[in-house]
Amino acid sequence: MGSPRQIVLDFFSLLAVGCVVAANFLGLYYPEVITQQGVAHRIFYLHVPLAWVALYAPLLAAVSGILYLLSRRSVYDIVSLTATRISLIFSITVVISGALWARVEWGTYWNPLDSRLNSFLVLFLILVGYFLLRGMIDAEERRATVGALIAIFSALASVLTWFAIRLVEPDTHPQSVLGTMAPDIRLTFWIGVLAYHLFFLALVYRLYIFEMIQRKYQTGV
Amino acid sequence: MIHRLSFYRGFALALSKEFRLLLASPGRLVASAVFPVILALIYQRSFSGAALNRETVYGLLLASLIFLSAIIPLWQQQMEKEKGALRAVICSQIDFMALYLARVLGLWIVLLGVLVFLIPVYTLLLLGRLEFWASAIFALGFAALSMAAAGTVLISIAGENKMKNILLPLLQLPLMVPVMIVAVHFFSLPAPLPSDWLIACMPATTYLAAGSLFYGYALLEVQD
Repeated sequence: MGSPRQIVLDFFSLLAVGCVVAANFLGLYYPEVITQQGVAHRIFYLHVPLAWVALYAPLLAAVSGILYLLSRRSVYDIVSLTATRISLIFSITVVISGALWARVEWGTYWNPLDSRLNSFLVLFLILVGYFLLRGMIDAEERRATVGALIAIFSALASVLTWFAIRLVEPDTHPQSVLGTMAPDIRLTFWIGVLAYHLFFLALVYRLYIFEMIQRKYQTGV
Repeated sequence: MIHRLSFYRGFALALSKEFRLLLASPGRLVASAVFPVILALIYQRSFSGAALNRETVYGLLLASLIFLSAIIPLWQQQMEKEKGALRAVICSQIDFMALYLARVLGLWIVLLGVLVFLIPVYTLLLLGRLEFWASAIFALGFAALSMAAAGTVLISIAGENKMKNILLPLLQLPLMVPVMIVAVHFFSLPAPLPSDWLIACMPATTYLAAGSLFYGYALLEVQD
């Protein structure tokens, strides 16, 4: 039997997984189909929440990176690494789900002129660069410092790209519909957003524990 | 007792060292200017001699400059190591922000020099007419400053890595995408508003501020 803290955290993880399953189920069956887009619009309930989390995660990694540089506590390095890992996985999912939607709506998997698609590709490249560089350094402290610095610059580039693509006109990607959604679509969407944010926090916690155990095992502590 | 250099004295010394290193190899400076010209000729051939619009031409010019902003600091670092200057810099009592700003300024001046040479070449070859557009030079200058600010930090982060020649462009390109988008947006405006001028400066100031704050960590802890 685990400690009360462990039980609460396990319950939270299960709750997060349950919420994701429920949100996906709801997205598939509850809202009315948008006639202009057909069934393909249901990808929206998965794609947008994942994209939001994939964009927040580098910010969390950057904040943890700054805290690591200031304090030298490996805890912050692990949080930074974990957030970046999740951001990479989520950004791959966003690119794939976006490509599936684009195939139905635009007749092609990838529109090279669409600025938002390209901005996610940029985020993906930055994250790949982060792991490549980290993986090439053996000394743990140096690896953590490099990771922190890359995380800070990656987050800055992500935020700048997010602002910059809003300057590009015309944009083929659908614009924000947050203020104009029908009640059933709005409810499903916000449940999806909540579910994926909980899922992100649960994943951060699980991967954090995993990384801690791995490091303790490697150092023999 | 170790005497700590003042910010301005450290800045001036670091800047003069940067220029001495650059002038020590004039062949590399010539190569820096020739390389984008070769790229311009390739672009001209690729577009079959068709006259392009202004934002495409300036965008291609910026894309060519990205390579230089990664290659020049790489040369500088290599020369510093050969002459043992890098260890001396790290051991000295110089303010790291002054050192960073001096390095960025040194690289920026080189990039601006290359730009002044390249603008007539690119406009003549790709636009079909000679053009010096003041607004474009402002946006190109700030884009070059962004490249210098990010490139200087990245070369220190890549440090001693054997794969740095491959890693640097991989890290540099995504950081330069917002710089390119902002600059190309600016070139497309017939009459930029004050807010557009501010947006054109945004990436450079962001990278410069972050680089000033964190350069010391990269220099002290990543280098051997």
